[in-house]
Amino acid sequence: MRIKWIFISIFLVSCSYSNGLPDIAIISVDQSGTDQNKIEFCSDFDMDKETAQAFFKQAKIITTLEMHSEYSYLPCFVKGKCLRKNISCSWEIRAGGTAYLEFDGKTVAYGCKSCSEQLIGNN
Amino acid sequence: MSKLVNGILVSEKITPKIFINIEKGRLIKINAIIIHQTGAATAKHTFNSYEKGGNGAHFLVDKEGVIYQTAHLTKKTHHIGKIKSKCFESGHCSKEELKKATDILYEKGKSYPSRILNLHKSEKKKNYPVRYPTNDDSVGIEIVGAFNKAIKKYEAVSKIQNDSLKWLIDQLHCHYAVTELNIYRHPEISYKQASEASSAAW
Repeated sequence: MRIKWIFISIFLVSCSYSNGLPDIAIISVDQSGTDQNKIEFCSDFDMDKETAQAFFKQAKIITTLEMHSEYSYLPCFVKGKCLRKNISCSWEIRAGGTAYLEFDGKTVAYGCKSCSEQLIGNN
Repeated sequence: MSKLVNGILVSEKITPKIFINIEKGRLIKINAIIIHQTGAATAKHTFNSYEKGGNGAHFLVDKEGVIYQTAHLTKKTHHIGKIKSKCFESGHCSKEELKKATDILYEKGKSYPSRILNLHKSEKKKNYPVRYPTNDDSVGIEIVGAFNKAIKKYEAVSKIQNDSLKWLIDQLHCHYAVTELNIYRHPEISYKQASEASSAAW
């Protein structure tokens, strides 16, 4: 009986960490902008909390080497706050399908190649 | 001085370490050289990635300035990604060409990745040097250098790495008709972090 509960516990933990990701709860969307003064290009890049949440659900943690070789780096970003393991964090999603999560003094990079439809402009 | 033998640059200054998994078909013409930084702290990180295949470049300069040749110069590698529009970036083109590129780049209702993909496809139909170089006509040189996620910057290229880079480019000049005007830092031609290779000098 005890072994059965251990297996159920492991299953529940692994489900809540799907894709190898810890749970990230998006709390707010605070800012959208551009880091190369590409205001016109980025003018319609924005997203709501639900879209940001869906992005992190599909994204995977990537190395900076993968970020360099496999993803485009576009100047448009959206930033906000989040909770991870009940500790506050901040996030940044970029138009090229990458993201950063700052948590507990560390910065983690994420990538999502299948998130294109979420990175569509609002107009 | 180096010799070019079957796509290998032969010199005591170059360590051959070919990864056939990153080679993607014949490279017929070399128009340009692209300077990259790896985004990883050691050469081993990049070699481990090359073992698995996928993207890579022809040469790698490690932290000690050792030059490795990682792909034959007769083979293409995927080291660039989607190219920018030279017309749009430089403004040196006809009004019609500029409008065409602008329309693709700013197309409403399309995702950002699909806009730059469509612009890349449109650019690839042009000949070099009207467009930026692609994987089909360029050699890639990676310089080992970490990317700091906290400050979002690549580390500076060291003097010993730049000395090796300069020597390697001089050798490529000897064997191919690639002039100074045809050497690019990766972010100049593709959508990459601006600090990549920004401190590379040759």
